[in-house]
Amino acid sequence: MKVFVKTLKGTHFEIEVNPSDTLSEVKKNIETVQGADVYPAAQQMLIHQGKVLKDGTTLEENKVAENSFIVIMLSKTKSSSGEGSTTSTAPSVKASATPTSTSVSAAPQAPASTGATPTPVTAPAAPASAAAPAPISSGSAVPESDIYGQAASNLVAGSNLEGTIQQILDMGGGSWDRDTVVRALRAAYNNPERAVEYLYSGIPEQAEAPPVTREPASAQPANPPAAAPQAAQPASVPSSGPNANPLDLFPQGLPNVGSGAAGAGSLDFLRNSQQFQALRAMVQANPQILQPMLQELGKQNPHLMRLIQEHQVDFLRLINEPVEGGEGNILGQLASAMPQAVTVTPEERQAIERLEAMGFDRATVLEVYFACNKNEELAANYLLDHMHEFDE
Amino acid sequence: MGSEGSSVVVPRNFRLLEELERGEKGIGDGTVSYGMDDADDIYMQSWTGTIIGPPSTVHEGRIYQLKLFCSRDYPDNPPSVRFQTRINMTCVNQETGVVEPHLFPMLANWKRERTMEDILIQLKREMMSPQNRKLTQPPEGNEESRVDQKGLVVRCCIV
Repeated sequence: MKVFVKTLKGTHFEIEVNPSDTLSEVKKNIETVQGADVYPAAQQMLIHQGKVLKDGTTLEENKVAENSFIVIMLSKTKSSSGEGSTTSTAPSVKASATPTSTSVSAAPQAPASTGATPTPVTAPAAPASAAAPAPISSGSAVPESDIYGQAASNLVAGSNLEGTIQQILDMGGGSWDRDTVVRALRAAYNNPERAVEYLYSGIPEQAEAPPVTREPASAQPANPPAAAPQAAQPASVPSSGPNANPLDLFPQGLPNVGSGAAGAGSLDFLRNSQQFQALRAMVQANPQILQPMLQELGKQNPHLMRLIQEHQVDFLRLINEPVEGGEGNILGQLASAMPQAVTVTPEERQAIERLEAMGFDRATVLEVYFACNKNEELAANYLLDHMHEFDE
Repeated sequence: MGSEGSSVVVPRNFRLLEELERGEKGIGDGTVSYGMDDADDIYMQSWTGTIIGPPSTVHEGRIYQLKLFCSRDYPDNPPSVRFQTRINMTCVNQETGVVEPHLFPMLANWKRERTMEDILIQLKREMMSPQNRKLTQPPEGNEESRVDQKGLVVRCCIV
């Protein structure tokens, strides 16, 4: 087809082009017709209907029809890059004008930035559940029953006591005297193994106090009574001597016995007695031991025995009560032993506190935390995975 | 066509079609050129124009692209004119490129007989006026920044 090319000097000429020709080919065509010195292709700029034609586009794309006119202009060498940017912006202008064709003048100049960013949803906190301390207490009860069962079976009395004392003296090799061995046996309720342990680590204070109140031991050993004793007067004092009362579980005497009241009140003082708690634990663990213990108790403390017989129902009720006090004492011992045995850094203490905040018992947390080598994540996973075990 | 007198009122579409034909034929010296933005626009509202900088001025060698918007009441009211290319002129807003009517007498005292070609020719004359011919012009590389902003806005609107 034929198109007219107008120049700035007012002249115009015709060129023969095809609609599928690109602007680069058109510029070469003009260069061929007019000469390279007049219109070099590199500096040509073609304008059609107010638009600067881009080199990469075709005449058909720019809607150049037959017999239409194109304005040609030469750009300076230094400004060719600038004009190139003008050409490159033409498609953007075209694209930007289409969607806002009805309100081009009203288009806002300042770009409106879309600052809406979706906020990441935080993961829900792990549900906290309370773990009952039952497994700890049940775990603690097992060694307790074992200890007292063994203690009951190892209790020595009568003629066996002398042999045990002699064996302990020989074991010590002369480092302990007879009085110390006797005091240790008495503090350990005549349990030989426990007595030896006391000799090595020292007799506990609360168990050491009773022997102080006793009369000084005589030089000669006393013979245990072989026959059943006759009924003595209530006011008579038991015979003195270090071996006279091997099974006396209440050497301190009975407080407020003289003012004993009727009913359960008269036996309430037994509830707070440490010896009675130990006796109750032994009886609950091994009921068969109750009868022999009562017989021995009758020999050593007839007054208490009569008191028990008068309130037999109350005594049985006390014996059958659960070992709550003992449990408290044992847990207290564990708690007191914990700080001495384990030292934790501030970070470890914070980790333990965080695990407790999840709703678990402190004892359980401590056990699991140290079992997992002080790894907080492993401990938390273990506590959560085995919650049903702790709840039992 | 003026001999008919002022009794004849040309409708808007006929007027715009006549201007479109003149733009395509290229009557004139070729220093100003204009055409429709979108050939499929039946209302013929959006137009694009080009002014080649006149010689012997700081605008020599530059090609200025403009946008002209003819509303429904054209030619009773003048179209809005805005420079796409950055230019430093007394009657042009530096930020938006809009030709201020109160600073451009042809837009302020608009007459129905005026055409878009007349606006472009008058703008070219304004470039040759004493107060505009020696004004420092912004570098030509800045053309992309304005178009980029325009494109950015459009992209945001599309989204």
